[in-house]
Amino acid sequence: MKRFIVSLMVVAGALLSACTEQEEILQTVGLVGTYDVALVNYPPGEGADLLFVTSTDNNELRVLSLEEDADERRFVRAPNPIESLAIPVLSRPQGLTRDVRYDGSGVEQTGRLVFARSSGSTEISVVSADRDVLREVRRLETRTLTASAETPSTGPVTAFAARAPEGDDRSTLYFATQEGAGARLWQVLLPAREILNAERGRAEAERTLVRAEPLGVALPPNVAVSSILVLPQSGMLAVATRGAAGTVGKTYRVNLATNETRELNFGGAQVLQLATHGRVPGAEGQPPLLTEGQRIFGILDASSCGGQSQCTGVLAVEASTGEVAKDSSGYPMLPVSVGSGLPMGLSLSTNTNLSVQTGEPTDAAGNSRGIAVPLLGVVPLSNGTIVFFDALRLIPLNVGAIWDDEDDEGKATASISLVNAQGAAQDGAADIVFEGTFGVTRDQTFQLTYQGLLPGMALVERDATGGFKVPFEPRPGKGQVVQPGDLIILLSGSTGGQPCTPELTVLAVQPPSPPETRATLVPSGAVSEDCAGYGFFQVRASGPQPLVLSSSSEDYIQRLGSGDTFSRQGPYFFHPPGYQGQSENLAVRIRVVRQNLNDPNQGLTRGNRYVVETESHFYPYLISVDLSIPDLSFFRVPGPVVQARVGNMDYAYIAYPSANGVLQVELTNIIAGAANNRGLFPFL
Amino acid sequence: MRPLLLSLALLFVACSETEPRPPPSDRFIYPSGIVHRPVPGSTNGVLYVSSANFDRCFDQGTVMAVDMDRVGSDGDRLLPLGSYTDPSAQPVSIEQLNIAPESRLYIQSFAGEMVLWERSDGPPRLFVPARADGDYIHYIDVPEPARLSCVGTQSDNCIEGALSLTSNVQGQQEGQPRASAPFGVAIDTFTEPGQAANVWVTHLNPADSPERSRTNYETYVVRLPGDAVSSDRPSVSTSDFFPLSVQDFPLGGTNSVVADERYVFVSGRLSSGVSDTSLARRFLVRVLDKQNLNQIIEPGLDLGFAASEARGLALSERVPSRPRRLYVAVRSPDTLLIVNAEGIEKESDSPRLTVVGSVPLPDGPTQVKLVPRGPSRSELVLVSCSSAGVVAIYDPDVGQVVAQVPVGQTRGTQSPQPFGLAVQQQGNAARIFVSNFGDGRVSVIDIADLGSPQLARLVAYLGARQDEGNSAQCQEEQQ
Repeated sequence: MKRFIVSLMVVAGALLSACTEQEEILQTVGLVGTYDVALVNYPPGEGADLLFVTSTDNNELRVLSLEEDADERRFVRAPNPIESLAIPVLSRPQGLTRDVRYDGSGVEQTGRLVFARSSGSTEISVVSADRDVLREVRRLETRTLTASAETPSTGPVTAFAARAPEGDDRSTLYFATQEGAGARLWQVLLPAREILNAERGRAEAERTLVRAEPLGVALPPNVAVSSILVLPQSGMLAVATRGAAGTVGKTYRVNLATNETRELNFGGAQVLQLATHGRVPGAEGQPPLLTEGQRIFGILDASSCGGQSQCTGVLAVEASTGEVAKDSSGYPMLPVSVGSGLPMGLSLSTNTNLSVQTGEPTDAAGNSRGIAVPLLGVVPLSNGTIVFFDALRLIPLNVGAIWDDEDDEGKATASISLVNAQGAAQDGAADIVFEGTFGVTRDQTFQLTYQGLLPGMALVERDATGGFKVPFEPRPGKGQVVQPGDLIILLSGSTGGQPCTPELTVLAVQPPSPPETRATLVPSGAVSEDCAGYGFFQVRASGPQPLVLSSSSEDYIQRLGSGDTFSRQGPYFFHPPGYQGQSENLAVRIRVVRQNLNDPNQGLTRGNRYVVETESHFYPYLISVDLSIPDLSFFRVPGPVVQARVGNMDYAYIAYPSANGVLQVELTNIIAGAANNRGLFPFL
Repeated sequence: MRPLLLSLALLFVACSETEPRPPPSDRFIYPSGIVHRPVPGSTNGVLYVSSANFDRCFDQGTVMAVDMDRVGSDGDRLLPLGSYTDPSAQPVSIEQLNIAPESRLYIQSFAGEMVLWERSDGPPRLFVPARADGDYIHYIDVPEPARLSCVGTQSDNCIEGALSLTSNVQGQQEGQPRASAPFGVAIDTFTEPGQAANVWVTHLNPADSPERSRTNYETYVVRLPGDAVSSDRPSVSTSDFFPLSVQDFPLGGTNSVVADERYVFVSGRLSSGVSDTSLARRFLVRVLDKQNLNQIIEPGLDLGFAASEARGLALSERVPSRPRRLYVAVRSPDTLLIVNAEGIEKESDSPRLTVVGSVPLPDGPTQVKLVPRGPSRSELVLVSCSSAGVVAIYDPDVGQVVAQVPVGQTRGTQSPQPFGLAVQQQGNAARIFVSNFGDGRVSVIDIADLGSPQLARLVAYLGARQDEGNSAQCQEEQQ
């Protein structure tokens, strides 16, 4: 009986469990056009943080309340509780900002205002972020706002930022407008929040007068302002500009008290968006690792130099000097970038927990980094990946730092195999020697094919006289390819057909006489009678250099023989430990040490090839979204990102315009280098 | 029994005898393709507008030549560019188009884009694809600025002389090649001296083989070679169809095409029921080498920006101090892609397309048109955004959309749905004509100073609304 009762309890428990485990139902509020997000923090005990998101095509904002209980984390309800709250704002809101300040501990504190703007618009919506008054409290029309200036503005707002007051004072809004002659910068001291809240709904004439003043900062003519950043230091801004017609705009740190500007040199690149950070505290009793605003980060504008690596990605400058910040190697950092995706947003957060991956490097004692990253950078890219980087050390987080026991750690390596025509592989390391440089060598595959086909000579038609003419320089810049000693193999048909035996050997190569571009091959003997009618031929490497080197991106690199070496230099794509400031270094060196390549008994046979797979031991810490999950299938192109700590959990909240949603990424529950579904939750 | 037979007889009569419903002569019906042509002696030039007859309220679509100096009535004419100076004024509505009989021709329904070829050996010629029955491209001559003439027929019904891109294609086997639902069209004047221009055509529906088998789909871009393009007997053969499908990419239609001196750029869009959207890659733009037409170049723009599909595209002119840019309107998310186009010169064998920027656009970006501004300023990029009812103006020198000009109001079922764009440029000013597919009008936007495109303003509507009154119910009286 006891056993029966226990069994009954187990079954009942299982049934209860099955019945109470609710299927996760996605809440949809009908977001249309999620182009930006803004986070407003609340002190502990005053309520959950609020995440504002644009619903551009509905001309409204929505607000996600980041409750600690994940089940309660949802869009704020409207007064009618069966609907979620929509905040009508200006037409087509695309950009958001909020007022910020930095407290005595150097921690970023948000105010209680969110601002919305739209491309090409002269309006700015001021939205109260007070939980009790979540609505637009003022619509600023910048042409009216600047009407009392000597030269009022007529153009659209191109950038904005706001400084929060200490306590309950007044926020200051900074904005840039685009006029016929170029950009202008303005500031507005807004009424206190209580006044803004109290005056909502009143006629403009009954509201506190608000006027914008031009900033006395001299910007170059014919530039546009791309981004404004409020710096922690009082009265300091950073302003990124864009040049016209192919000229490159500059970025400045601006002292509003003196109107002095200092150029911030992002490696000569134009900047699309600026960001900075709060204080990064040091160990107990130690000075901070970074003071608040010590570095200014910029998303580089790839269009300013045709998408080359030096103007793509994220770069930081020292606010005090304006020069590119130095990374952990002591040398100017390299832009943080991955593949061909464009950065769509950037968040910087202090002491943020991020799951540790097995491939991350360890210290001398074999310890992995702690889960908390002192200053974490998150960059969503337009190709769908999300990159995480160490914004304190200014290097990518590497999850590919894994070496075999026999390899030296911290070095680029290669696996080398000898593969026969049937595909069977054996170790080839005794025949081929590889060298490379950690930080320069990339993951790539090279092949050295014994008696490989020469480029452009796989199938060549014999000339009218039955002679053998081949392209003299079939690959530009690679010089003459065919050599005496190579093999001419006659073929019976235009699709290959039966090869002729015996094969002919090239006795001499007669260079072409202009305007002829083809070289004439002189065979060592006559064509056999059986093959006299064969109209086609191919040429294979033989003689002293019988190996044809190719790679996954080049069908022909060069020929090699015993003792020969191929080497190539390359730029650093990250700065490894021990980096000493070189601009480039050895990317790959392949040396053939085997001596008996052509030995008829112990040598290679046609179709044998050495495969050299170079290993960078570097893979950036990035994730993508598993699009095979139906609820995530539209999360292809991310937009701006904010980081939020909810309870003791760290999340990234990323706007996804392709999905009309916001994706919550649990930073301690993700797998780098993979398409993730665990740890992700969509809000639509 | 008898009443039943009578009813059946009446039903038969009702179904088999339909009154002819020629399209109206005084307004546009779902205007789509639009071309502006400056004419010596004319202030405002001539506007050519194709009407798609999208609800098939009428028997055919039309192409009209609208003399812009004659629209409206005395005191209610369209004013010259730069004359609408009051920024607070409402756009004027000019319903009276004053279309002369010789200024209107009939074409197949569902017209798409339209281009004009200014030929040196004859009158200018319009090319208008239409994707209703027959999948035609119409050739229409313009012997006088406001007089139109069908090529291939003496009648005013150009369908009779139009070229089908699906039927009677010489050499066609098992239904392929064929270009079902022809849509985009571009003139290629980069031909040898003395040779006629080529015309490139896209189509929205992939072609299955055998036809209606829903298997073996292929999609094409079609080249109408110069000799056929300049001929009075349009023709096409299988060798003029260039397949564009690439393994591991979802198969879809082709939307728009741009031809440059060496390369042809084609945008791709998804096709409902055909495209496998579970595949990771997307066909945004594909490139064809005119010197090796069998080679398709997939430039991998989706690896730079993972949008779902593309619509219109435009290539900037060659200016010594600036890189050339391909601007592509993509959807999901609705974005203008800025693509660096390197190595596309005639002598280059290796074109390189790199996404270097992306700009959020209002809902439903459709066509892209450029307005050059000389060497000291970048070209303006105009994008019609159908769902939002807006024309967006992107200024590369500002790096943002500097104006979103609404071309009508979206209320209930009414929406202007801007589609085609045409530009009249005069010195440092430009007038933009927009075909409002949804409300049946043409919107007129003036940019009085190209240095300040943010001040672009809707100044007029041309034509009568199709979405109000009897027109909306398909019940208007025939003229």
